Amino acid sequence: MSDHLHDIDKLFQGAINDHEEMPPSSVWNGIDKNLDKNNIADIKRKYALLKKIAAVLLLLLTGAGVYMLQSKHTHSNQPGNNTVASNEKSSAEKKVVKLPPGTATLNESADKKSNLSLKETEQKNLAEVGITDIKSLNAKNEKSTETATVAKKYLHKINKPFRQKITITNAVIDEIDNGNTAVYQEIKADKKGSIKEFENKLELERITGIANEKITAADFMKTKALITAQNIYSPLRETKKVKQKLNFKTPNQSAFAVTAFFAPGISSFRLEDDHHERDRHEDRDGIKKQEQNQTSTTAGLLVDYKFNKNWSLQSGLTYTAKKIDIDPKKIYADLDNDGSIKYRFNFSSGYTFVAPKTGTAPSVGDSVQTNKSLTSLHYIAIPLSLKYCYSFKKITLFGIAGTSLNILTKGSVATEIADNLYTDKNTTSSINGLKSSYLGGTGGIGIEYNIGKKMALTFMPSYNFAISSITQNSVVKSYPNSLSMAAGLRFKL
Amino acid sequence: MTQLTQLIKSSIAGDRISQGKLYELFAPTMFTVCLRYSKNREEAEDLVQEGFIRMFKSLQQYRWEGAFEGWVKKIMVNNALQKFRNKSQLHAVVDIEDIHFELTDSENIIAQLGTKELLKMVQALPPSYQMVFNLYVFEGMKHKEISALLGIAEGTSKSNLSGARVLLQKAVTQSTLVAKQNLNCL
Repeated sequence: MSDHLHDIDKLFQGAINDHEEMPPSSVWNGIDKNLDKNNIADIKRKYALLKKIAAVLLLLLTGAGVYMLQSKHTHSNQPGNNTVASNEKSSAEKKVVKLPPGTATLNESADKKSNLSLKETEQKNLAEVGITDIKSLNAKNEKSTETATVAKKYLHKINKPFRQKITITNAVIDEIDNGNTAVYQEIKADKKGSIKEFENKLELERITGIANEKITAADFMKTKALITAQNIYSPLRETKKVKQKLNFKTPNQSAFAVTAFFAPGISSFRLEDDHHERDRHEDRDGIKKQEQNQTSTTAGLLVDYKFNKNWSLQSGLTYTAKKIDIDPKKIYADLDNDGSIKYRFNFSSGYTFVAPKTGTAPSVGDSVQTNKSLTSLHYIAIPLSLKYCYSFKKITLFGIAGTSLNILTKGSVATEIADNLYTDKNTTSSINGLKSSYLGGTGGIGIEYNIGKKMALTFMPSYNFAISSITQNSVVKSYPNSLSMAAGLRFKL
Repeated sequence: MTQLTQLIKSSIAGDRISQGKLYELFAPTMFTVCLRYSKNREEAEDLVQEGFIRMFKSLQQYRWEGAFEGWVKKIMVNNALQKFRNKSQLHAVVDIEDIHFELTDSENIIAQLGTKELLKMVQALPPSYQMVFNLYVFEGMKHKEISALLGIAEGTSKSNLSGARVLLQKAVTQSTLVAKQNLNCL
């Protein structure tokens, strides 16, 4: 019996060890699907950090935007739109007072070139224009009218930007308010004086002892006249204590800048299988291998708004053209959206159906070879980025990060069906599964070299990526990204 | 670099095409292994699928020592054993007192029954017998190793092997008799 038992072992060993049998295809499909899930999980982990960074940037951008909007809103709530700001050396205190409508009118008449600041020099006599003083000044209607006229003329004279520090003491105001006609006459006589002289006369050191010096008093009368002309008193009434001065921004100090750029680059796609649109003939690995050669070209105009010494917001309009070469491949006939049988051509940006112009109509499952094909995608994009600048001498280094809305303007694919007997060229702009827009992100560092007061050369390598897929209901979900080198000219407005 | 080495490296890198080729290369052999450890084809399909998923996930841990096929087979067998461990069916006992058999020539049996029928006989064994028989006969393990692997006594392992042999002998004898009768009828 024992021998027989060992024979049993050999019998089964001999028969089964040599046996080979391929499992049904459903087994591999299950493995494939499971591995995809793992890959997706890996990708999710990989991009989790990127998503967090994007979320933080988005929050920062939103915050900056809200801040700017609020700031603008505050401006618009005031009767005027010019700013009176303090700029004193010894005190870090800053306060902003909005000027009434009269200012704008006056500024317009002064060809928008005025730039006047009031600066405090004496801490104890610092520009405290009390409400009482203001009221008393306003009470002298006839004088206000004339001083306004004089001020207007002075504003006309101010034809270059300057920052001048002035302190208005109570003593000066009292001098004027008490009807010092001699001082007033001096203003009239001096109205043809040069602006430089005017500036010089506004030296703070000369404020002291003003009651004994007509010329000094006149200077401050002029200052006072400017203030009167700008109707500063009305808003000041609402403030119990005013410690402020004027700080007009001239067009020369605009916070806006425009950059025109051109950026060639290399691009690629991150592909994921779309499990809802699985194709038995093709998957992301196959498609990725077939589409290795990709280029992108971007050009556009970007506008910077500097809201801080270092920080600015950037937006604008860009145009991007992507070209993707597709290697020769075998495509299979399938039912198209209309129920006709055509060859389905899958690629990273979607799919299209190709009908041979010659030869017999294909049946479902028939295959045909294509020659090299080309996909062209054209997008316009509206970026919104946060930019940090650091300047020294003529060089400015900057870093930029943000998002963009990319809108498809045109997509086309050109392919050739190759047969032994014929070659059919087929170009179509009807790409199925390609979204009309997608959300992108961008990040980069760059350098600017100032070649004038208003112009700078700029270079910036940047990495652009898609946050959302550009395809839907296609064999693959496609996330384009590109590495580009931008070169451009920046103009300060 | 051999084609297999290239396939393994590409599969580790996540190349699905290479993974597919690797599967095609070893699936037929591994499916037979899984058929031996399962009760039917459906269960074997599940086993081979789970086994390959495990294999691809742990491919980075392959140390390039020994035959790759042996490494894959080990994963399949361990996967199958884990399945059966969970079922806790390893200690079944079958009364073999009244089993009688008559063994004929091996080649004739294979010719008469066919490999698939022999596989079905193995699948028909009680799980405890099936495991021990597979590990002893096909994986070449000793009773000591089997007992350690399955967490059973060495005596139980021997007993299960013996029981498996007797049951298989009986099944083969009966099947051969049926086959002979069928031939005589013709």
